[in-house]
Amino acid sequence: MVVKEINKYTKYGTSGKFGKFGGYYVPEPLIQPLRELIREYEKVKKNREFWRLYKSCLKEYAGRPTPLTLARNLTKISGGAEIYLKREDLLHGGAHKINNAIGQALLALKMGKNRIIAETGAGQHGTAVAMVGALFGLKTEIYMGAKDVERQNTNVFRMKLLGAKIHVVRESSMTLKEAINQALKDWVASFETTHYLIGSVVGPHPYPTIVRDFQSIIGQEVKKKMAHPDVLVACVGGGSNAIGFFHPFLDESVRLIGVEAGGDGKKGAATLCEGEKGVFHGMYSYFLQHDGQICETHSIAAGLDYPGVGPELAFLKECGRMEVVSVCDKDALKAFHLLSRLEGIIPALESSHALYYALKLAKSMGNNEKVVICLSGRGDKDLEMVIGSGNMK
Amino acid sequence: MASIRKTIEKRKSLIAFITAGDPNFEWSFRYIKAIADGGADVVELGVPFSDPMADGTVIQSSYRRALISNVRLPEILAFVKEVKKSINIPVVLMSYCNPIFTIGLEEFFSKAEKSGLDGLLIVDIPVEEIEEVSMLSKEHEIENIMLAALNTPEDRLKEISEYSTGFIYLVSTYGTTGSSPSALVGSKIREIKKTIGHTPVCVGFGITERRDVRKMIMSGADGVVAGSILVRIIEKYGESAAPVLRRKVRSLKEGTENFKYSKEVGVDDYDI
Repeated sequence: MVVKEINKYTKYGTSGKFGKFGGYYVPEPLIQPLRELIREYEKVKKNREFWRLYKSCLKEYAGRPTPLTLARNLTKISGGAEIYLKREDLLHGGAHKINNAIGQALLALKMGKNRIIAETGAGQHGTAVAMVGALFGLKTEIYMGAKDVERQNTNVFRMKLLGAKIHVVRESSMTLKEAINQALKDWVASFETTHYLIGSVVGPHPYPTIVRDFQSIIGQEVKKKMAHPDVLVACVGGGSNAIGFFHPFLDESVRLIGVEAGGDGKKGAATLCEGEKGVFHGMYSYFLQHDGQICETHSIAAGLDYPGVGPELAFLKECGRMEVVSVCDKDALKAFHLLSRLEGIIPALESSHALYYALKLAKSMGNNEKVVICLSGRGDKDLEMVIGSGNMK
Repeated sequence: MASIRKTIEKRKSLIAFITAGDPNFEWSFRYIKAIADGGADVVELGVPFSDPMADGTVIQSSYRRALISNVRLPEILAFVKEVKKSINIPVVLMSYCNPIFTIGLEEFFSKAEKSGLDGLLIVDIPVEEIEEVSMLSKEHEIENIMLAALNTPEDRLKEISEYSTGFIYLVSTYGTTGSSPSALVGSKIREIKKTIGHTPVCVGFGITERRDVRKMIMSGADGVVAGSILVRIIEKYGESAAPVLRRKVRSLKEGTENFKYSKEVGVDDYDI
């Protein structure tokens, strides 16, 4: 029953709704640009040549397919299930963001746009967009909150090196949510020449669907290597690595677990765990909010520091297909260190959230079972943050 | 009941926007009286929201001031009730979806009706999602106002018109509130009037001077909405803003009056 319902809404639905989540709740001037995007994407979806080009860029430029690594030492220590890592950290740029950036940049070229704009939180998406902007000769401008600019300085420099122009956003929270606000405002005025390259499965229809489709390569590759994992675990901010990882497995009997950022005990960003339904950034979904106002969030991982979540994930949670938990800053840091020491892999703080929960879970599982974690990015960008947290022993 | 639509149909109208409770309800009340004194035909009150994606910095800052004073939608509805007692022109609320959805549509409309609210404009709700709002607004006798854009095609305009029981609010630009009107707005007004005929069309975003008002009216608009310019006065003059607002509204209102729709003026002169 559940699976049938999921099929109805997430596989074949083109209305932009996942159950009652999603849609395009935007002021009228944005409707035509979105409809143009819907039309163009519908065309592209059936265009084999487009997907061939996308796949070849992923292979030649981004470094796909990525390995599925058995983490032997972690497995030994946990004493339970086998722990596997889907290595998105090995991609060009150091995170899964490039999958979507390549796809949407090709889409922008198809639509005849010569400029791309994007928001970025941690700077991973911004970097991916700056890379494809350089690669395809598209004028690239990135909106980034002042607070994020400060804590992700290296990525800012990387984007500049790659030729992108950075707009530092100083409105209210000065983080990802403001960056999206400003990018949307830019797009309302510039859509004729500009494609807004959203970095997660959030925003108005058709973005949650487009980004999911471009990220589903993650789960497809896992499926090719391992037909029957028992549990998939991914971190969830906006949710693009999670949905890309989960989507090809929706019909399988696999547990899907989304791990949100619990924050520091005072403030967090665990939207699905603690949020309420509402409308923000053009979508009906769950949001951290108070009295109808959107809250400011906190996470040690800039990429999870967002008060909303993609509508498809909201739907999967609502109908019980996906479990949701949260992991706090401190525990994520523990997992960060553990993976570095035991496997020689420095994970992104975002992915460290998923890692922590998966390790705990693996202990309680049998030796014949398999847990796969989406290691969505590498941790180089987080070194300053980790040093600053006083957590370097 | 002072119907918005009837008001606009009777005379070319000036709709004056300020944010409810900016910077607090007490001052806001005085501003509204000044606006009504100045000759505004309709008062439009913004419901503050943390993330107003259609608004420029001026209105966004006014929302922040109101939010700091703890101005939220339930209090605004109580405020509207007070306002309605002291002015006799229609009052419209302009809100984003989220504050209304938080209260719940049914409860919002029943409270809104009790407050005497005349009209509602939800900025970020498209026609695809308007059905329930439309039904409830009819049931509670609140006129529905919907946005149209310069790039809204004809079939969609017709649909928007059907749901706009108050008026159609044409957004004059591809920017946010406070950006200058596009040169295309005149021809769009005429296109809308030709396509849908009956529903009044008011133009807003970036209206700052009497001549902007006049331009829009001469292009065939039934009314004009001025917002950011008034909010800027509040930001600048604070407690003593009321007389300045009154003068500004009077000046803008003059843009809707005392002229003839004549060939000599040349409607198209303003449509470069």
